[in-house]
Amino acid sequence: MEIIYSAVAVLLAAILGVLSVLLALRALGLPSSTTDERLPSAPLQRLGVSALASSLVPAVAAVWVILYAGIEGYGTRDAVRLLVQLLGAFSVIAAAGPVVVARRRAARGALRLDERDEQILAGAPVTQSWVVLTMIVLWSIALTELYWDAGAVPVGAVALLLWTTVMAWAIALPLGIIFGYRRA
Amino acid sequence: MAERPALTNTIRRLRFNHGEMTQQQLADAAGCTRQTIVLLEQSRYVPSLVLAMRIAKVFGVAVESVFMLEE
Repeated sequence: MEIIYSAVAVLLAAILGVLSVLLALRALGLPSSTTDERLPSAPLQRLGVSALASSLVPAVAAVWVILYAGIEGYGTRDAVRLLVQLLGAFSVIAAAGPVVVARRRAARGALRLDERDEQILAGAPVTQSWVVLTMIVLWSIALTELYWDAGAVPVGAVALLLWTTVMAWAIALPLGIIFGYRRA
Repeated sequence: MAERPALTNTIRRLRFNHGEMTQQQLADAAGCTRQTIVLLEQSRYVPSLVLAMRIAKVFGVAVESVFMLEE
């Protein structure tokens, strides 16, 4: 029965993720609203903002569920676990999907990514690295403080560490793109 | 660390001299985004040699006529 629940959760996450990717890709075609003198936004920049916004919603919802149910609740209640996995998968697809699709379109010549866009895309993983490192440090400190006396960390906590870090890693991709345009 | 030399350009003047070409038209012709053209005109971005040559080709002039090194 749990396999069915998991399959449904993955399918729902995929559907929601694809819808949010399509929504983010619409930002590529939006015209820049600035005047000739101010800096217009690049298509990839608009896509980064859209992907960040659509991935933050399920990520924040997942964090809220985790805080509400707690680590023990995540480990013992199937519904909590499935909901977090659903929201986590949705967040990852919403964050990384548009960028993957944009790169494939650019390779086919259907989207213009110029050398500056490529430099910014190449630099985005630096932000992801810092975010992952920060998540690992925060989780290590938290789990050490919480379970030092117990001498053991619940399996649910390890699974949460993985899911939250993967979500943060994915969200850091559009974030890195946005930072790249601000720095460049 | 040695200070990077500044790169100036005459893109804006060349655009106006070529039928008041817009930044978007130049971007389309050179294969880059309008944002890149704006940053180039403001000397806030140093283009690659390929992009510099593409822009020079659009105007039908030598690269040295578009981009100049200020030391």
